[in-house]
Amino acid sequence: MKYLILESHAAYCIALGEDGRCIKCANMRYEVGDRVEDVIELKLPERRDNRRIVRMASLCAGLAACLCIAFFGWYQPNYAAYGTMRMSINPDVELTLSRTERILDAEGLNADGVALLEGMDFSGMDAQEAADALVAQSIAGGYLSEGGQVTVSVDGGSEDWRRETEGDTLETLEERYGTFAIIRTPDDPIVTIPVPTPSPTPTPAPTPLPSPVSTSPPYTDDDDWDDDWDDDDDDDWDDDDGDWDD
Amino acid sequence: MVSTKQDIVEWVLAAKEDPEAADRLINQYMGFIRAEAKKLSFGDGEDELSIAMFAFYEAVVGYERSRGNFLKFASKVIRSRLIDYHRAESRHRGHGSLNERASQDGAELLELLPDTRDDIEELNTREAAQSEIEEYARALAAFGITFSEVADNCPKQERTLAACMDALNYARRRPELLAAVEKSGKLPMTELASGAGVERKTLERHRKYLVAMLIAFTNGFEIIRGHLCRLDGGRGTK
Repeated sequence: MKYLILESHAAYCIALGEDGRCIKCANMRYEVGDRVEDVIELKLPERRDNRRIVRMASLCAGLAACLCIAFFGWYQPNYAAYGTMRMSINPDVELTLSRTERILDAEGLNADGVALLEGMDFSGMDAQEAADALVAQSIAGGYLSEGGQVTVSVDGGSEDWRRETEGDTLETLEERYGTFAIIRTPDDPIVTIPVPTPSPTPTPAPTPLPSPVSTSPPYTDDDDWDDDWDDDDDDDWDDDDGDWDD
Repeated sequence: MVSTKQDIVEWVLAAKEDPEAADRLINQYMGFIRAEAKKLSFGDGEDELSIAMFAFYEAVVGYERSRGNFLKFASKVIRSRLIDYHRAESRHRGHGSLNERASQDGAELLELLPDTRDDIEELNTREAAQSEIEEYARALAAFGITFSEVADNCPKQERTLAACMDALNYARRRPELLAAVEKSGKLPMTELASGAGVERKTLERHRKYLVAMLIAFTNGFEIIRGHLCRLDGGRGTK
């Protein structure tokens, strides 16, 4: 490609290419009317500020994406509270669970619950292991005796998660303590174990006494008396004796 | 007179728009340009000085206040231009230079080679071209257009350039259209757009460039017209 120099300045020239492009190029001692090749074309300096902003923005976007992945993929399922599991034996205890059923916190809801939790460590345990440990500790502490009840209820999270966590925990406790205690949810009917008591000796039914035979003739109202047991005025019992309501 | 940083910025911003102001600024800062060129020069450094001056002009055109100190910015632009230049030149290493010393008496290879050029013919051709270019400049000036504006208004993207070429090729085959442009300096936009199948907005955006090119195709500019042998991009005229 050849260029015809149209105008010459100290630092640059204006050149017309054979293809019709009109450009500014470096003046390598060219003169007007020269036909030259291999010109150094004007190239505006790149906007470094923009490049830096774009680079910073991509860096921030990448960092934000990593943080999102870390938060939603690792922190939230493992360390953010998602639901609670309440265990009522006699000690009443509430466990705070993550989505992955990690134990995040344990709280006694009554005095026995607080006493039961003393010295217990749930770190690294999931809901089933913690429930197992609580029941074992209750038995050891004398809070749960044979035939007692353990009520497990799970709240929060999604319906599926709640049902699954509750079901797994009940199943685990049932396997371990099903023959020792009654494992139930609040929705189950209260089961009472019938205690056998000695039956009372049957008493003979009283025989009806023979009623005395009346000798008086049957009453017939055939007299001329008035039948209100009072004085003669047929009104209200109170005017002939002088000592009731004067 | 002592110039302040504020003065320099004002001069640079003025030089962005005005070619004469740019020339004045470059002359004023020749010491700075020469010093920057010397840092990355080899041999006599004439080419490097030319490149440094051009890079200084590029710095002027590309400068904005957000870039901070102008001279630091210009220094960076000059440095990167010179590095680019030396990188391009390094591709020719291993090739002989016509300016190399060819004999012990100091004569250059160029001097020893037989001269096949006809200097007088070349001079005549150049003078004829210069004369025509001057005439062309005057014809454009009549419509308030300078070569600098034509260069600034020339499409940079290939697709836009091709669209403009379509319009030019359509117009150059219609003498009445060329005559109208030569007379008024105005482009018949609607006819050009519909005839060449080019968006009117594209033509309007590059109006000065198109007027300059169409005037080159009017009578009297044979050398320039002959130079534009690849105007149709090698596709052949429509």
